[in-house]
Amino acid sequence: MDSLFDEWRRVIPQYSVRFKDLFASLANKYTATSEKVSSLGKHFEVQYELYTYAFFLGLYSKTRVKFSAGEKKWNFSNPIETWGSRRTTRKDYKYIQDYMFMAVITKSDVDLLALEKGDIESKEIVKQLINVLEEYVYGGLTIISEKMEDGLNPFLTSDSFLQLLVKSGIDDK
Amino acid sequence: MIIQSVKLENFQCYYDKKEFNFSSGLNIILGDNGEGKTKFFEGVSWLLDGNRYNLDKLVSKKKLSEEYNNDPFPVSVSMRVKMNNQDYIFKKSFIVKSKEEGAKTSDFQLVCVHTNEKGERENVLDDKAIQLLDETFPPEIRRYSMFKGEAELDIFKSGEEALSNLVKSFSDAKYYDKYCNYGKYLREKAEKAVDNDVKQSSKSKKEFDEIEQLITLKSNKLNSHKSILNKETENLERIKEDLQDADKHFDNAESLKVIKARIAHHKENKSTAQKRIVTDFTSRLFDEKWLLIHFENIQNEFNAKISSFEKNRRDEEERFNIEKGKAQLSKEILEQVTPLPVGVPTLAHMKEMLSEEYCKVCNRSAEKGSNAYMYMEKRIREFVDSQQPKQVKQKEKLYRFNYLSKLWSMSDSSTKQVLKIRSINQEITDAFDFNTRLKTNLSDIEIKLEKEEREFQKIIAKSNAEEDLVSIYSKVKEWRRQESNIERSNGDTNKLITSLEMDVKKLKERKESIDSKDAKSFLVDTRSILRDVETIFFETREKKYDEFLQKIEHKANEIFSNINVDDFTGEIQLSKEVKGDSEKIKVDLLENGNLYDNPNQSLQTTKHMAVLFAISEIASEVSSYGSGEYPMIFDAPTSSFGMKKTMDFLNLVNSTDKQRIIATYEFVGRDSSGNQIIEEEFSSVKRAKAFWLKRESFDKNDLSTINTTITPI
Repeated sequence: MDSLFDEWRRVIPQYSVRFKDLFASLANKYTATSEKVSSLGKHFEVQYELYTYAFFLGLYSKTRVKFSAGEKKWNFSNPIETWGSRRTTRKDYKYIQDYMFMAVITKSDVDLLALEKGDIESKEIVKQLINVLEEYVYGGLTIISEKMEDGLNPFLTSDSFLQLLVKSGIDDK
Repeated sequence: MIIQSVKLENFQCYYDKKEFNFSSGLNIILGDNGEGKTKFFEGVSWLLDGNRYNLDKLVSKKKLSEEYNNDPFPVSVSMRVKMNNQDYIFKKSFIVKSKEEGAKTSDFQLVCVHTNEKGERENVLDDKAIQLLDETFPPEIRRYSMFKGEAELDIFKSGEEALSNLVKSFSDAKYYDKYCNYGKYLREKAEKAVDNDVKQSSKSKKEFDEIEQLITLKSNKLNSHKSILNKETENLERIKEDLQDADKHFDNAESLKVIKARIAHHKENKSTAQKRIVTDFTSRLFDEKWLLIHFENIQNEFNAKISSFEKNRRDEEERFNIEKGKAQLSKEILEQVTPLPVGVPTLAHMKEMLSEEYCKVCNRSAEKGSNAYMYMEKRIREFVDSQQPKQVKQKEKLYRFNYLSKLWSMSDSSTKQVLKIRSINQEITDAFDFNTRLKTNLSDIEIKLEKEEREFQKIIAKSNAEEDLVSIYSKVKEWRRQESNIERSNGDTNKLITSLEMDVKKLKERKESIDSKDAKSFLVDTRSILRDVETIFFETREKKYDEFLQKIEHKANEIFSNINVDDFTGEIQLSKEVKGDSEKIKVDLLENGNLYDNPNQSLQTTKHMAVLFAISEIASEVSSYGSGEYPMIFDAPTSSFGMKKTMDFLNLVNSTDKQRIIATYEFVGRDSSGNQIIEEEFSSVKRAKAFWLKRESFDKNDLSTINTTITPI
């Protein structure tokens, strides 16, 4: 039996197609050979970094947005288990998978005892957990895109995304 | 005299006919390097003084390529001037035929069209035209009217020639030359008469002859040593000048070395500071776990949730187990039988009792087929079965899986990270503080760097190119050696000269005493008078000479105080330096009566301009062709000034109200698309007229496309 965590992190989560441009403008794309396509004005080295950031932003600011019925989804082909693997100039931050998993478990209504009893299949639970993940990501991406739609690009300085995240959890303090 | 216009036709970059219409007062010609300023200057110079050699070099390449194998065409420069209400048009021209072997040129011709006050016109050619040109714009005035570049402004650098030219041209001292010569002639005659008279007296003749021979011999020696000394002194001066220049460079080179080292140091610090400034905040969100900044609450919720699941799980499991235990117990209680353990009695005892059909436990018979017999048989089977390996029966469980254990261990290990999460805020604050400190440091470094770079540029501007300094270094040693050798040998020569002069003086005194004893007294008296007359002529000439220099100095200082825009409070000093038989004018700057060392280039230029303006004014007053003002033409005289100073300088020149034509590359800039523009600052320059020289778009590699256009501004 795989752990629930292992099953969950084998999934490639998705985001609403309406944020495709946001990903293109803020994050680099990597080719099959891991060559960076462009880094001009990109804050996030890879797309899943923006995805992860958006998740935490949505989580801390308690912004969870459900997909509309029939809303088209998009992904960037990397399952969660690959996120945070060490790259040349960066540290390994695979730890982030654990924290995201803990967060989605916390914020979901899954019945773990039913799963343990075998009353419900693990893939059903994983689906629910991925939904939670995607909804918080939706929330985070909405916050970012609304800021960008204000006119002036608020992300011109190198600390702008950090500042936004720091402020996002202030209500909880 | 006022230059009203200059027309250039197919002259170098001036293709076809191009004309400058000048005003009295300040006329400014603006143009970037290579746009035609110097060619204008050369055109006017050629008209005034140009010779007939290399005329083909003066032809417009564009015209030449256009007219290849066609009809001949003219090349000319003409100047229209006004003087004493009369008009003169001087035109120097030649004809060119463009052929395969190159340009074939005719000889040039100078023509003058002269219109007098009554409107009568005459055309004169060549020699007559040259005469009119020289009368209108005298050559000795032209010499002090046209200057190309900043270096030419120091007209006294060439020494004697400039001085004698100047004096010959403009000073009253020149009138005394002939009297001096005449005085010298008369004095020599009188001396000869005395000598002859003494020689006729037989008693002193022998002694007199001996003295005369000795005087000639010693005087020749003296002259020869003096001439050597003069030459060596000149050499020494040149070496000293070179050394002085070199010292300036040497100091510059030393300063440059120090400044360069400091610049390198600041640049390194700047680069280190720039590298250390934190800019990867977004990456640090991930790499340094800053994403977890607000995660503690979620962590607590997670722990509580998992803990609650775990507890529920255990509770349910316990309940389940109790229920299961209860069911087993009730079954056993219902049967009310507590069986003996399997294997009691032993298998051997059981088999013995079965064969004897008697139960020895309850001490009664147990025939085959009876209940007691069958019970014993069952007990034996149970024992045999218990000795066989058995398949374990799957225990009945409530939970088939255990996902929670992983979550539990996740909760456990992440709880240990809470301290790290709590320190994130401080880490971020520290990073921002670090950045603030570095940025302050960086801005300090940038200020220092900018200051050093300015200083560096200043030194470079003062000296020649940086590379020149290196070659000067190597020459200095040799110059110093030569300097000390010449000084030593000059010291010896001076001693020799002093001793020879003493000898000659004594000999002359002996000769004089014989003269006064033996010669007729009227001859001696006449000689004495004529000696005085010669002295008077010489001294008067010197006085006139000095007065002339003082006049230039006074005038130059008047002008200098007006055009000096460097806030230098000192003054110009012109002094005559006599070295042996030669004389030289030195132009120095004094401040509080002391020599002002190392004036910068722009102050030097201002000094030279003041002297030139002074000479021009004086020349106008005393010209042999009658007084009148003359224009001055300068090509790029203020290269070392910079825009602001050139602006002030031009405004001051404008206020002198004399015709000056000044070409400069200042005020020509470029806009963001690289197109030439006239800088806004030029609007603050007061002038009578201004022209902007621009080349039409052309191919850099093809000179036959060059064509300068003149746009009045």
